[in-house]
Amino acid sequence: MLLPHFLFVILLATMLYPADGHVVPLRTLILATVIEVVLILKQKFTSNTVLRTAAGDVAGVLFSFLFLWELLTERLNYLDPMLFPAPEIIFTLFVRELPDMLKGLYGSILLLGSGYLLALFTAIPLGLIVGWKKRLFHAVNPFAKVLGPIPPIVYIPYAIALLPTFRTASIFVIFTGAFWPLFVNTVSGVFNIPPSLIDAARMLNLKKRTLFLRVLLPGALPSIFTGANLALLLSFLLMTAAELIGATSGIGWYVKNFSDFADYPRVIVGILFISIVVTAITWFTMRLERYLLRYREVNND
Amino acid sequence: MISINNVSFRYSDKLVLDNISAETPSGQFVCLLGQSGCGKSTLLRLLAGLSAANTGTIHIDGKPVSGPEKKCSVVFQDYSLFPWMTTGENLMLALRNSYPEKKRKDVRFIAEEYLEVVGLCGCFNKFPGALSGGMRQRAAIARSLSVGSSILLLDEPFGAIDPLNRTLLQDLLLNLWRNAGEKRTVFFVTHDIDEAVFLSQRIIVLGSTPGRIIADWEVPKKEEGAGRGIFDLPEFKEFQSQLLTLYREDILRRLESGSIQQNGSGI
Repeated sequence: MLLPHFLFVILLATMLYPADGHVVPLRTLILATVIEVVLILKQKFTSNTVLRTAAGDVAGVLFSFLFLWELLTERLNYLDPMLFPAPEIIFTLFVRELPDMLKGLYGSILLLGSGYLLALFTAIPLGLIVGWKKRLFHAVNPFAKVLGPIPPIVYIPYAIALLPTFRTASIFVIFTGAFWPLFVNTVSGVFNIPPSLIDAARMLNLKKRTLFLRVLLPGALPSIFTGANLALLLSFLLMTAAELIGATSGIGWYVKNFSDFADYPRVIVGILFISIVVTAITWFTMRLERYLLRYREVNND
Repeated sequence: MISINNVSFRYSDKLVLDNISAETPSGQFVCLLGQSGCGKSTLLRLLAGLSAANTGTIHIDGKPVSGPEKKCSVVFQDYSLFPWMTTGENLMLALRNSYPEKKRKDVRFIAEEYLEVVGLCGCFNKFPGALSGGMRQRAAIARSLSVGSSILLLDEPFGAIDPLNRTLLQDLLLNLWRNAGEKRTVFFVTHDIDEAVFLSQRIIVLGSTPGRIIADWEVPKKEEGAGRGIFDLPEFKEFQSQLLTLYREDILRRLESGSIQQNGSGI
């Protein structure tokens, strides 16, 4: 219970310990303090003991990491400063580079969003139809089995050669990568709807539109979310990969560009930024999933 | 009027129903009684139009059944309600589909009324998952009544319900059928003799492997308001024991024919 606070104090001491030419790492200090405050608030207001312990553990790991980082770089000069910059350098640079990275992110998200949304709006309806019409499924399944497992990264060079612009090429690659996991999971989602629910729907003589929107879609939704999460991670991967190969802007390009100049602090800042973005997106989709599938949490048998 | 003429049904190579024929006047409460595996649920599915017979025909009011139709509605043992919609939305979906011309507000009102009829006043906004098994079956019954089908098909609807709620649901179903003027034809599938005797006017007993009609009997006439008191009356005791004898013979025949084997197949 007290261990993370103890680690926080050690971290503070490491950062503040006076020495010749040592400047107090202000941003790292602020970050550590913010973590500590959040931890205290969590421990005060969370009634679930498991979650409370977890918050303490996570904070403890963060403090230990920052402590080791600060100690081995800034305080002891033990690591090569070009490959392992001190925390303060990274956090200062992060703040300074944020506008540029956000601009890059905007372009990247536009790319990712186009490919991903295109996949959502084609794979889900097609998956529902194919899952509903058994004959269509048997006709399509062999092709899905062959085409689905091809790693979409192999399309990138060909797509860049084939399509007129880098943008269309990356959108195509992201689309292909996101399409199959979405499609396959939508089809299996329809298959997994309990047969008596399908019978109930048939007995109600629902119009096709109602059947698809109010029965098949929500029935397949748990499985669709599995596919959508997979597709999202895959498209993020593909977007970054595509930018590494052929882009002149964007967040993947940012990392690649500065690593070409051996500017590793900016590379680390870029990686940090990407991880924050991915975490934010994952958190948002998780909330959306929990809201849309909330009916599953009320089971009383 | 529902007429089943020489209906047979096979599932892959196995004969499930063998030459079934029966006529049912509109408004009759019929129980299909039989042990598990006798094909009674299959017969119900054929009536509903969810499956098609291999030979023979089923006519409802003179028209052959070729697929699911509005005049039939079904309640299954489980999963009749869509779990991702609230109970009220489940009813509204069915109602809006049956009465597309009605306003949303009116449909909601009707749905609330039907929930009230089956004793689920405050459950409009609850998900089926939050209801008990008995409440879910009430809601399923409410939905099938609300769309105004003239034929109600129930496939062991109370099979997974505890005895007390089962009794309550039987009373509810019978009251709903009587209060509506005994106009709806009901086919009720069960393996419980008491349930069949208590609910129905007529019992069709199916024997097993393959499913065929071994008895088609009228239930002795019930006095109004007799309720479960009928089980004390001599004519009902006699009727029950006849059904029981029939049941026992069927079980013995199955055991002797060797269709039930050591490894459990055929049970």
